[in-house]
Amino acid sequence: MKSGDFQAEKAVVRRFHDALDRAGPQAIADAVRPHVAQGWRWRGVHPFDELQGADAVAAGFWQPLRTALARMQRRPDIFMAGDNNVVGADVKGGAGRWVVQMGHLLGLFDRPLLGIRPTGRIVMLRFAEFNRIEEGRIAETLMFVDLPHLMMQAGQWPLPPQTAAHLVQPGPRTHDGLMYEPQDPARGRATHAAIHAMLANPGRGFFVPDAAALLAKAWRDDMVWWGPAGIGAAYTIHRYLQQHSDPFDKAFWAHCESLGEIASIAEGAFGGFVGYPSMRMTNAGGYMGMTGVSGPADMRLIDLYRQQDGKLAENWVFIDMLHFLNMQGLDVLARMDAVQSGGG
Amino acid sequence: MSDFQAEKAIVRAFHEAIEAAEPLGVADALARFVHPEWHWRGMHPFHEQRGPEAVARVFWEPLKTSLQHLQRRPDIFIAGLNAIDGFEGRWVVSMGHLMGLFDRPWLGIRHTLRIAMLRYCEFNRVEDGKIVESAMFCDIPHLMIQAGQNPFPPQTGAHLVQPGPRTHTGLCYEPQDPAMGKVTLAAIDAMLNNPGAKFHNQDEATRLARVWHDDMIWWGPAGIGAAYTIERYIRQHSTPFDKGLSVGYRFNGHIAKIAEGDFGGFFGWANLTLRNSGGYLGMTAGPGPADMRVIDMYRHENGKLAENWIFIDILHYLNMQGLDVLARMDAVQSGGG
Repeated sequence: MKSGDFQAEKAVVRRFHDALDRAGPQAIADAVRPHVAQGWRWRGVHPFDELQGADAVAAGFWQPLRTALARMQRRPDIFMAGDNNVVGADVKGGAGRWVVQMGHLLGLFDRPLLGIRPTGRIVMLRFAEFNRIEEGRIAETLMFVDLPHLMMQAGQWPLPPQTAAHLVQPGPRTHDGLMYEPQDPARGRATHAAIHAMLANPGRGFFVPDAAALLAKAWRDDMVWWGPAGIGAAYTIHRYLQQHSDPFDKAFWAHCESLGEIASIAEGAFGGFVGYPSMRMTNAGGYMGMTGVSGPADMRLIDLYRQQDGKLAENWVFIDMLHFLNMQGLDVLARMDAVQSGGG
Repeated sequence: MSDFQAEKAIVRAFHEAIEAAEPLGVADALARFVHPEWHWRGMHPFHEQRGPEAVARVFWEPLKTSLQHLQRRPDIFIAGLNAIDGFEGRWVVSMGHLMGLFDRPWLGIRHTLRIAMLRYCEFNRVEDGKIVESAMFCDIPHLMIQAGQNPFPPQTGAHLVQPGPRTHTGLCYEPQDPAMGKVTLAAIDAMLNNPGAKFHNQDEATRLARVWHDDMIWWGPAGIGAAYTIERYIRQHSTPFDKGLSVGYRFNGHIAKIAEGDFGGFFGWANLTLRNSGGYLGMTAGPGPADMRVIDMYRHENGKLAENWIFIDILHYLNMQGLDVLARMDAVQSGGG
């Protein structure tokens, strides 16, 4: 019998982060092993993709990252937990208790990472992590980091000009995202309802004639869409339409399908979901300043929301852009490494 | 007539008249030198136009309105018989920059109130004292980069306003020894017909060294940039081209090819049809084949090629793949997308 709150699960993830952050790069596997299940299933962004078990995750992801970003400091903006599968039928991860953390991993960019040149300066790596807890251990993790955002901070902008703003993004305006204490479940349900209202907004689709009015039913007018590098951040419904929604419609109206989510939770004023991938679509041309392509590509996606008075006020978006572009024949990391080595 | 002084005189007077005319007077100025059915080929978004009024309206009037005090700064001026049509057509070629003060927007590109230098190369066929056919290529993305509005991912080569020939011998206003032009044409043809695998050649440097000087310079268009020495040319242009464009590569031929003195070159419409299998120009794989309209100009020295100026209609190539670069940049800079 599970308890009504998520204090036990939150404690597991907090201990996991403490052990992870305290360990030197070579000691990470041993440090995290007590906190994760055997056969721990870990899914990351391109080029990390899927890894299994503490050793593989440490060797494949954390060691290179911690070696590159020296003195890494975790700076969470959201910490929440919840039971899966509350929002609706589109969730395919099954029942489970999930703990989510979002924020930045700050460090000194002192060594190359994936061919990205170090700067000797602070970088802040956007991340969002979903962890499923089972029998006191982390059984399953989805860990998204925004690598193109790091490239831009390091002066190695790999993509054409983006429609919205590039900036290191703050956490919630209200600063109440770190829910280490138990929360009133009724608030989480209200947040779920607000997210569901947005997803199921009647008339939602491509080229909606009065898209602003439609969005205003689910979003506050001063909403902020904290998008990933390649698109950027957009403020107000009007600019969200101009800087994200319209380019999306123009590129994907002919083919865009939802593949469902793995987990969806809400707690307090916060909620969100993860899919791997969430969507499959075909760029008819222009999206992210790219030519059209001959076939579909997948978007792995994490969306986190802040609810206020029944509507959505903020949205943090993590898309595995490198995977999406790689499926379309563009290996961004390899090309940038080659370009910076004087080749192509 | 074995020299081309008459044809050169017409094109020089034509250029002087364009430069002297006010924007709204360009059509009349053009009409004095071109055939009423003048066939003009330009870059995306201009494409093909007929007659002086159409060319003035779509190209010269807006350009002269935006780039004020427009000044032509040619680096190469040559004439010759077309090697493609059995040495019948008489062509005059001018290459260099159109310099002006970028004082008003052009094609949605924001003006800077500063100098901008538009790379250009123009082929003109002269018949019975009139220009009857032209190909006027200019490097619009290069101007965008100069104006701080680079629309592309990082390029492999160097971005710079490019000089003319190292030797400063490109302005052939006087008659030239026809034997020199024949040697230059032979050097260009040797490059075009260079034996060995064209793509993914294991020893591409050796193959290229047969027809190029080792200190060759490939003055490429914006989006790729300029590359110096055979080794860097391979890394910065040839290898990315092989990786992205070798599958389904189709050569369509040229429309005109001439040489005079140490200089020569050709253009096609479109020279190549290519599908990007991914990565070329920092773009995702293309939806299908697209056309590449190209002008290539060369400097010859001691039997090999020493310099190459390249003009590619990249905006057209990308537009055929669903990316309207000018429209997107205009939208991005207007706060949309």
